[in-house]
Amino acid sequence: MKTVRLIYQKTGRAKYISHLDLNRLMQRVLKRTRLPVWYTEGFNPHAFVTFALPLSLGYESRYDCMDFRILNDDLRNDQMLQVLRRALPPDIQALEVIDPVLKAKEVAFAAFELELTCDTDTAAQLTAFLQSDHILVEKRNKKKEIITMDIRSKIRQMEIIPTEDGLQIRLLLPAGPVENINPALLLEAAENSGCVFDVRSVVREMLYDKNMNIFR
Amino acid sequence: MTELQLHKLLRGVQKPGRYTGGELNSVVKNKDAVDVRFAFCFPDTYEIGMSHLGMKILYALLNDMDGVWCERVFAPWVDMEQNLRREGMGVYALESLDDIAQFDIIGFTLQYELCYTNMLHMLDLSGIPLHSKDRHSLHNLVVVGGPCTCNAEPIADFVDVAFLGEGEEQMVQFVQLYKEYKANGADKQSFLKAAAQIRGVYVPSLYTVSYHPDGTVEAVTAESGAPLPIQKYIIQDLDTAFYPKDFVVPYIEVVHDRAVEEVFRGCIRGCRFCQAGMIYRPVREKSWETVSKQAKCLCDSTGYEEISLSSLSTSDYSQLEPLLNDMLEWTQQDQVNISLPSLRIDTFSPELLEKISRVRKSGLIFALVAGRQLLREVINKNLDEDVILQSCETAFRGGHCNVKLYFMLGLPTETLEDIEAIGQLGQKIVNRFYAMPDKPKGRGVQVSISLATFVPKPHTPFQWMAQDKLQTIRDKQRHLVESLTTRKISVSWHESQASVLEAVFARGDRRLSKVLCRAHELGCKFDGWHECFDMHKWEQAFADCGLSIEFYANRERSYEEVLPWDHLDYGITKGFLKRENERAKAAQTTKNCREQCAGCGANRLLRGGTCFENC
Ligand code: SF4
Repeated sequence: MKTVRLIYQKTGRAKYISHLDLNRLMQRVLKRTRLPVWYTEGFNPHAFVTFALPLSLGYESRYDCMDFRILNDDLRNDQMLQVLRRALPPDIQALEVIDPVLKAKEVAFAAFELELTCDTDTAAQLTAFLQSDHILVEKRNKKKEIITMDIRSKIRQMEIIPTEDGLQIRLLLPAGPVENINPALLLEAAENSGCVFDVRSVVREMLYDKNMNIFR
Repeated sequence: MTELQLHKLLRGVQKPGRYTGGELNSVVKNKDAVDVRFAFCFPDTYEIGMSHLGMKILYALLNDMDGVWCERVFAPWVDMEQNLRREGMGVYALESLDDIAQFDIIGFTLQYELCYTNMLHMLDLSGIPLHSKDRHSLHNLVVVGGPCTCNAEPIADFVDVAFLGEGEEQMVQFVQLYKEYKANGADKQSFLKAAAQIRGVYVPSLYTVSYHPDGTVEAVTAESGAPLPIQKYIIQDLDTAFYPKDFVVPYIEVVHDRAVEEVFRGCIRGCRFCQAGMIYRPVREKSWETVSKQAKCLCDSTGYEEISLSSLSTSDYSQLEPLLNDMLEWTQQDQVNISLPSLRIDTFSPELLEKISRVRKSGLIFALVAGRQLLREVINKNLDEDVILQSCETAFRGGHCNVKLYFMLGLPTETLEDIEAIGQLGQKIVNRFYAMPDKPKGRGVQVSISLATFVPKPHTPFQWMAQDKLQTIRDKQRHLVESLTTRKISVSWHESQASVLEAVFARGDRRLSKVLCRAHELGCKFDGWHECFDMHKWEQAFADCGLSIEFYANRERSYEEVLPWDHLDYGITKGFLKRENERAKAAQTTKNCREQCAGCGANRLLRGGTCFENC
């Protein structure tokens, strides 16, 4: 038995699939492949799958990972990629099947690309807001208490690019089991500061470990 | 609609997955390359509609046709409706995201009377005229199917065509004909006249209904050339009939989230209150080889972990034993569970229990319908009390300590003793549990009684009967609860006001189209949902139209009266229904079709003219 990692994109209408629903979908996808996948024992057997990092409902992802176990060690990764491609719905595209290099808990950063629509005044206002020294947001900590946090210091990288009808924001944020910052927090803070805009899309572009190696 | 518009539209909506499509096995075609676009509408939520087998069959069937693209449409929930209005959009189909107003044929499947207003609601949201007479061209033809069309009269003013009976074959003929007429630029009227010649195609506008001064029907007359009566369509051979090779697999959880394989149509039993048992006659079985093969194909293409063997009474399937043996071979290997809904309590053997336990333990529900032997004889639910108790014991032995029992209140001839007998039967089941020397250790027994309100339905032996008044039903419910002496029995029921409305529309006539239209104007929708149902609005709608609820729900009809659905022929004869009604009054039972043919007339629908050898 070996563990393999499927790298895939979740785009288009697949962004409306919640994490829980994705889990159920992948069970069915694996069944459709008829690959010799390892099932848990017990009352309600299911394929054992783990995801590197859950994705919020409504976000797209260009690089996501799911691990599962395969009983036949001789199966080649490219063979599995072929059957997975056929078994997945159109808006989830399999990119690669690999032998995992890093452990899921080693995810440390995620890159996001946000597309906002707004008028030019708001764009300037937003840019100024995002570039200020402190951005305070309210967040629940692990004990479920509400705490105030300066999110500005958490942003590893930020790029703000004006577009025809608004802004594109590229962010590198802490992600994973140690610390996880959802870009929604930043958008909420901007809204609370009085900026009026539409979020056209949020795309998670890439996952990294703490040394900024691509998560594989 | 673009993806961006969809994104905007769904902002703040609960369960956006209801409205996005894109699921596994959903069919996308090039709309410019098809001749006929068919919007298959289920007038309830996505979760309910996606659980429905008939829709899956017709979706696959239509998309198998050259030049035809069938898409799915569900009723938007209240929050989504607001967003649609905010964005100035109509109801749209999940595959192309196009408004249903762009479709050639708009089909609704009508599974229960309380969804009629949703049909109007959906048409209205897309700006489609509600009345058939106001839609002048072939475009936006509104067609309906499903069990409710066995009395299509209350919706007659809205629909262009109602399909009677089973849709698989007539649908292909119908759409083919539409394709030709559309290509020739024909007008709606000539198409409807031609379509009415297809068996099972009922075009209400070709018939005129006249009434007596007291509001009962005087006569139904057909325009020249239109058939009278209109006979339902049935599939002759289920082994060769179309069955889908795959199902659309929803992303979000739906009510029945599993593969479904149909094992037979019709029912041998002849329970007198049961409309399905009458209108789907005669019984036609699939061979176990076909069932197993089709079931495997579905599991492979969907990846479902559960397959349900579906019919009105699956334990009556004559080849259940070889079927289960064959299926267990591959289901166990593929980690697939088999579920058997609609088990009859008297066919519930330890061997069967062992087989279903091997695949899945799910809750057991037994439909006993009436508490007392005598009343069960009246309704022809032929179950012996000893058998009921014995089967419960079998269930307890198999580790099922919760049994659910289903009863109806308001059955013909019912007395307060009958009501008390429901509680007493529950008590006997509880006693039986404690009398077992080998009862499961450390576990108690729980009997849950669920009560429905009897609704007299057309094409059944009780089609002439009055429904109990609302107050009577409520008194009976209270009486039952008060007669219970143990907490091991619990009782629950649904709002009975909705059952009154169901009774009205089940046996209604064409004049009710006005009431439906008025109720829709007053904002009635999702009437099957207690959070939306508003009886006051309905009472107002009836008052505004000068019609009475009691006339339809609580009036006993005479045998001489022309019933609004008499011109719709479901194979069973009126003579048979009368006979059965008389036998009910005398508490005489009728044998099931396999034991002895009761001469209902449905055999005439079969090519050979016989249901079983005994016909
Ligand atoms: S004709 Fe006889 S066997 Fe056939 S459905 Fe009717 S009663 Fe049953």
